[in-house]
Parts: sequence; structure tokens; C-alpha cells
Amino acid sequence: MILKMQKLTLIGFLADKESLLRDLMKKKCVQIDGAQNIRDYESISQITMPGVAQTYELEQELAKFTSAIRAVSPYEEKAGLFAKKELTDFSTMLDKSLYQESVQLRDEINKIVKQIAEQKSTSSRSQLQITALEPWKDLNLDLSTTQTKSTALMYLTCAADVNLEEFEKQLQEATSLCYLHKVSSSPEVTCLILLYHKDAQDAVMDVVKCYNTNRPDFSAIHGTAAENISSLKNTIEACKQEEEKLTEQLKVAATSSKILKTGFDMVTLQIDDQKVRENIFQTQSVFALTGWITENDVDKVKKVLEKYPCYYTMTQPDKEDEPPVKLKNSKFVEPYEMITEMYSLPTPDGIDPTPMLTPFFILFFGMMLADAGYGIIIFLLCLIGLKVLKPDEGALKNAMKIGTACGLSTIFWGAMYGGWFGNLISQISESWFGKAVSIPMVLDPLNNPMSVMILSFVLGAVHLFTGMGIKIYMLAKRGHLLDGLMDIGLWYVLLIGLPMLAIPATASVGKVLAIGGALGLILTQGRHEKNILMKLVKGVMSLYDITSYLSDVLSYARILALGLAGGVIANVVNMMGTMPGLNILGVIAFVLIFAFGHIFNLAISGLGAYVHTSRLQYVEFFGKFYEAGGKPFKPFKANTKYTLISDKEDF
Amino acid sequence: MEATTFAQFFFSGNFLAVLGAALAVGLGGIGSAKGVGIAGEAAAGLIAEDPEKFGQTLILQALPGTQGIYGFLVGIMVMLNCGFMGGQTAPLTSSQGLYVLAACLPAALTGLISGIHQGRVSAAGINVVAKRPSEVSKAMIYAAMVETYAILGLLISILLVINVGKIA
Repeated sequence: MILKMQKLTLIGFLADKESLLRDLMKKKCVQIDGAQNIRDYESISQITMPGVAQTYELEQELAKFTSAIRAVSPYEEKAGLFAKKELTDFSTMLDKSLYQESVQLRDEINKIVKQIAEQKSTSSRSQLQITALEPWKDLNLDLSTTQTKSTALMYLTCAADVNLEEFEKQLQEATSLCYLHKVSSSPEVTCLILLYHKDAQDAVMDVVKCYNTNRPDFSAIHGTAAENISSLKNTIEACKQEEEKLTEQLKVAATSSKILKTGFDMVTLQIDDQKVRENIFQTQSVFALTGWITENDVDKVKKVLEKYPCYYTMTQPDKEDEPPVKLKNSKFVEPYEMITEMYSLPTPDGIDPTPMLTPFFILFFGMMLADAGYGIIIFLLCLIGLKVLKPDEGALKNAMKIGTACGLSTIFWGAMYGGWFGNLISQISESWFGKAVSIPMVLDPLNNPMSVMILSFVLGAVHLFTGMGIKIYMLAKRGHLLDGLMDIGLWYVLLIGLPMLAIPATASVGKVLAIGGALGLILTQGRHEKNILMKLVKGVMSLYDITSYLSDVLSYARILALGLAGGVIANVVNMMGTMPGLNILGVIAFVLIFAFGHIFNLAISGLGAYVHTSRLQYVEFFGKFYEAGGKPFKPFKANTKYTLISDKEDF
Repeated sequence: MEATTFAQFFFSGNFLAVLGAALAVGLGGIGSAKGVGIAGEAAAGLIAEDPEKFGQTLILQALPGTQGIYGFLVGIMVMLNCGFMGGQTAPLTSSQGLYVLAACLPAALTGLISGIHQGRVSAAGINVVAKRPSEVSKAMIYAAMVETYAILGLLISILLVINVGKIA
């Protein structure tokens, strides 16, 4: 059912704005839209100013929280897959001192993170220097030495393939006042020092230029390479120790990450609060807003607004309004709203298909998985999940609720088909004990698939007819009952008549129905044409739609196919499992194959059943009547990530 | 002499039936392998950025895997219904063999093509997950649309194979 919406128009004093907005946020039941919906918006807009959302600074605060939370997350206690949100109340979320505390913790963590990064970069810089100095470590010479009074000293590196003998020979030919010494060589690089008398500088440089050499810069280094390396190693060690110490601090901080997350949500709340201000228009002394509330919440909102000196109206939506859509269903049907929402919400004046969709979803899921063993597993898992984990309201809880119903349906259809983990019982008794056991079953999809196929088609036709019936209802509600009866009712007659033709007992009635329906369609479907000939042509052409009905019904063959596929895979698993025979190793092999095979089959077949059940709803069922495109109702509230603000009234 | 024995062997019912089973398993498997591969490449690309989406992308990657299973199923059904798992009273006749071979083709062909294309739709769905993880179900439905035809192929193949005993 789609909840009826009322349009709220509110004009209040600026002095009350903050506390009024806070109260509305707490109530979580008003969607605040722009003031554009106010009557005479044109004239109002001349004298008002649009509100501004100041979120920039808040976003920056939020980013800091995000990085702090990310920094401590590896050291937090693992909350598991079904982490529950922290429950707090609204006033806590506005607690200034708690916020200060979280900011302090956050800044502390971010500081530690920065320090760790510094230590890491120092450490890696030192490592680089060590790599550079390593080849020179055997040189027992202060690396800052570059000259004496009369001689100069040059540090050289060159590629390993440079011919040193040739180099030395050329140097000797140029001048005798020089000496080349090889410090070290590795496959990559050769390190040299070149001593020469300062008078011979030009001659030496001429030769050196002919070779591709580099001159490492040691000007900033004091002491020998070996001394430097050991002191750098000490630095790295110190960095590591410092880093460990800082990490310990992070671990300590991680224990109070809850405060951090509360702080994050406090900022989120402020941002949500700011964002709504874009939609509020104000003058020097008053502000105005429009919004939507569901009819159920009218009293609740009135109670809040009565506290303030303000003017407000709550009215039915006008024709040109587009109210947001919120679905409301019984407790049993409610989880399936998720499936409707996944497709799209209905238009505000449309119809909520969820109650009609629910029984077919459960039915088809059960028929597609159709194994009592799997059904029991799904049912128990979801039931235990609901009772033990008590998940928060949301997708997970809904999925578990859907799972219990679909599990029961799977058990039922599994029993109908005689599938209990496939043919487990008969397979074991036959191959291990040599006794044939027959499992009671109502339908045998493997040996008599036609009966299940016909059942699938009949249920499919019921599904489609339900959709068509809803279409007639929708047309009738809008005052087009006659159109509905002609466009859809006549198809009912034709489509019921056709299969009756196939059964001898009803063939004569079927003939009348089919011909009557077809004639009716020919006569009525061209009614919007003016030309009598066109009326007839259009009417005859409309019969072509039979193909679309046919393909819709045939699509339900997947119910049989998926049921068969899952069943046969289960049988194959059992067959493979019992092959090793009845002995200790054989039983161990059986348990392994059984567990792995059936979990695999349950996952694949379960996924298939879910996806194809949904498809039957979306394509075949919705195709017959559904008008999608409603905008979801988004009440003004704090969209907190880690905490759950309790609904209890605290004012 | 040699040639006739080969021809006799080639047209023996058992060989033809096994050929059908091999085609169903092989072509379905190729389709799925390709489809799962395409989806897997896309998924791995996303995981590099956002490892938390592993679960969702794995489901999308698994979807094109069903064609291989359908082919395998048809193979098993052929083995069971033709007595290849033990208990064959007499070898199949040539016409029975040809019947089984033809019966395997719907699952084999639809599995091959739909597997590849479902893989591409799944890969596109993984791009959806990258930007809007909450819309994963819609991406799954798109992939399931492709699978419909593999399911129809499977259904016809199984119904035909089950009736092999009635063929002379």
C-alpha cells in the first residue's frame, strides 16, 4: 500500500528556526523540499533569500575523522559480518564535550599516523644512502677529502663494462702525475678514485671526459663510508623502534575507536542539518519551508509545531504535485518491499505491487530450488540468524525474513518432488545396502516432467492473470472500467478458452470462449480509430498480441528447468559420494563429497532461484500492469553510519 | 574393409550418443569458461581498487557459470538414460544415437553462446557495482535475462533425452 502524503507548508520566526529544525530532525518524518512549492512562489522569491548550506568545513572535519578511523581499523576488535550499530539517543549526538573528546582523540591519532609516516620516510631515505655508500665501504678514507695541498682526489663511478686497463693506459700516456685506484666492482658498477697532481688537472680531465663516468657527491658526508653506514643502520633501527612505539600507541587509541565513530556521526548529523538549509527560504525575520509528511505522522508533526509560534498548513497534494512515495505493508509482506524497491517505486497514484508479489515470490522460489534438505538449511540459517544475531532493521534482516518464508516453501516443494538432498536416502540404501527404497512424492519431475511443466504454466498463467487483474483495477480506479474490461477482460476470455480447447471435456465451452474473446477483441480494439476499415484492421492486428502472452507463459518453463537442474546435480553429488563404497575411507570420502557438493549446489541453485524468481516478477508480472517511477520518501534525519539514534522521545 | 569398420563405428549408436554428451558438456563448458573469464577480468580490475566488493563481484562472476553446469547435466542425463553408467542391455541403435546427439544440441549451442554473452553482461554489471554497489541486484537481473535461453535449451535437451527409451 502506498501511504498518503500531506503537503506541509511552514512559516516561522527566524529565532525559532534552529530548535524547530532540530525537533523535526529528531522526529524523522518530514521530507523538506524547496520553497518552490509554496503558492505564489514568484512573489515570495522577490523578498526572500535562498538558504545556504555551509558544509565545507564540516566535510573537512569529516575527512579527518575518516582517515583516523581508517588508521585504527586494523587494530580494532573485529566486529564480524553482522556488526550492530551503537545505540545512542539524540542529545548524546549533540554533546559538545563528547565531541571535543573525539576530536582530541582523532587529532592524536592523525598525529601518530603522521609521525609513523615520517619515521618510515627517514628509514627509507637512510636505506637509500646505505645502498649508495655500500661499494665504498672498503675505502679507509674520510669521504669529505677531496684534495691536499698539491694533489686532488676524484671519486668516480662507471659502468662495469668500461675497460679500466685502457683507461689507465690513456691516463698514463697523458700524464705521469696521476694514480687510478679501484675501490670495488660489482656486475653493475665500478667505483674508482683518481689521484692527480693539481698541475696535471687539465690533462687528466681530458681523458676522464672521454669515458662515461659519474662523480658521486660526498660533500655532505663526514667520515669513512663504513662509519657512515653503521651510523645510518643505527638510524634505521631507531626509526623502527620509534615506529613500533607509535604503533603501540595506535593500538591503545584503537580501543576507544567507538568515540571516534560517534564523532564521525556527529559531524554527519551536522552536515545533514546544513544540507537541508538549501531548501529553506528566509527573510530578515521569518523563514519558510515546504515538505511532505505521511498521513500517519500528521499528529506527531502537529505536536511539534504547536510548541512554536508559527503558521503552517497541511493539505492534500495538488494535481501538479509529485509527492514522494513510501510503502507501508503488514509485517509479513514488509520485507518484500525491498524487491519492489529494487525495480523501482510505484508512481504516487499507482499501486503497490508488494502484497501481490509476495506469495508468488515465495511459491516460485520454492519450486525452483525444490529440495527439502536445502529448504531446511535455508530456513534454519535464517531463523537462527533472526533470533540470535537480532540484526538491525535493514536489508540483512529483510533478507533473513524472506529466507525463512522461501525456505519453508522450498521444504514443501522438495517434499512434493521427493527431493531430500536429492535422492540421498534411496541412493545410500541402494548402493550401500542393496535395498531399493522409494521416497514418497506427489510429482516426479524427472520421470514425468510434463506434469510439472503444465503445473508451471498454470501457475504462471495465474500470476499473469493476477497482474492483468490489477491493471483492470487500476483502470477502474481512474474511471476507465470499460476500457479495462475491453482491453484486458476480453483477453481473459480468449486466454482461458484456448487451453480449454485442448481438453475434450471442455472443448465446446472453450470454443465459445475463444471465439467470443477473439471476436470481442476484433470489435473493440480499434475503437479509437475513426475509419471503419481501420477499426477492423486494428482489431484484427491486436490478436497478434497472443504471441506476447504465449511467450510470457512459456517463460515459466524455467520453474521446471531450474528445479530439474538442482535436483539432478544433487543426485550426481550423491552418486559420486556413494561410489567409493561402504567402508571407513568410503564414508569419509562420502562426507567430504556430500558437504562440498551440496553446499556448491545450494549456492548455485539458490542464487539461480532468487534471480529467476525476481525476473518472473519484474518482466512477466510487472510488465502487465506496473507503473514505476515514484521518488522515494526521504525524511529529514541524521544519516549516521556507525550509530543508531534511538526513537525514544527525550524532550 | 578398414573403411567400412570405421564407418560402422562412426555410426554406432553409442558413439553418437557419447558425442552428443561430449558436445553438451564441452560447448556449455566453453561458453561458461569464457563468460566467467570475462566477468573475472572485470572483477579483478575492480578489486584492485576496492577489495571489499569481493563478495558482490563473485556472485556476478558466478552467474555465467551455469551454462557449463547445464551442459554437464545433459551429459549426466545422457549417461543415465543410455545406460552408460552401467546396466546397458544392448548398445544403442544408430537412430537412437543420432536422436541423442540431436537432443544434446539445444543445451550445447545455447550454452556456448549465452555463456559468453552473459559473461559480458556480468562484466558490465561489475562496472555498475564499482559505482553503485547497492544496485548489484539489478545487474544480476540483466545477466539472468541472457540465461533464459540457456535454460530453455537445457529444458528441451533434458525432455528429449529422458524419452530416448521410447525411440526405436
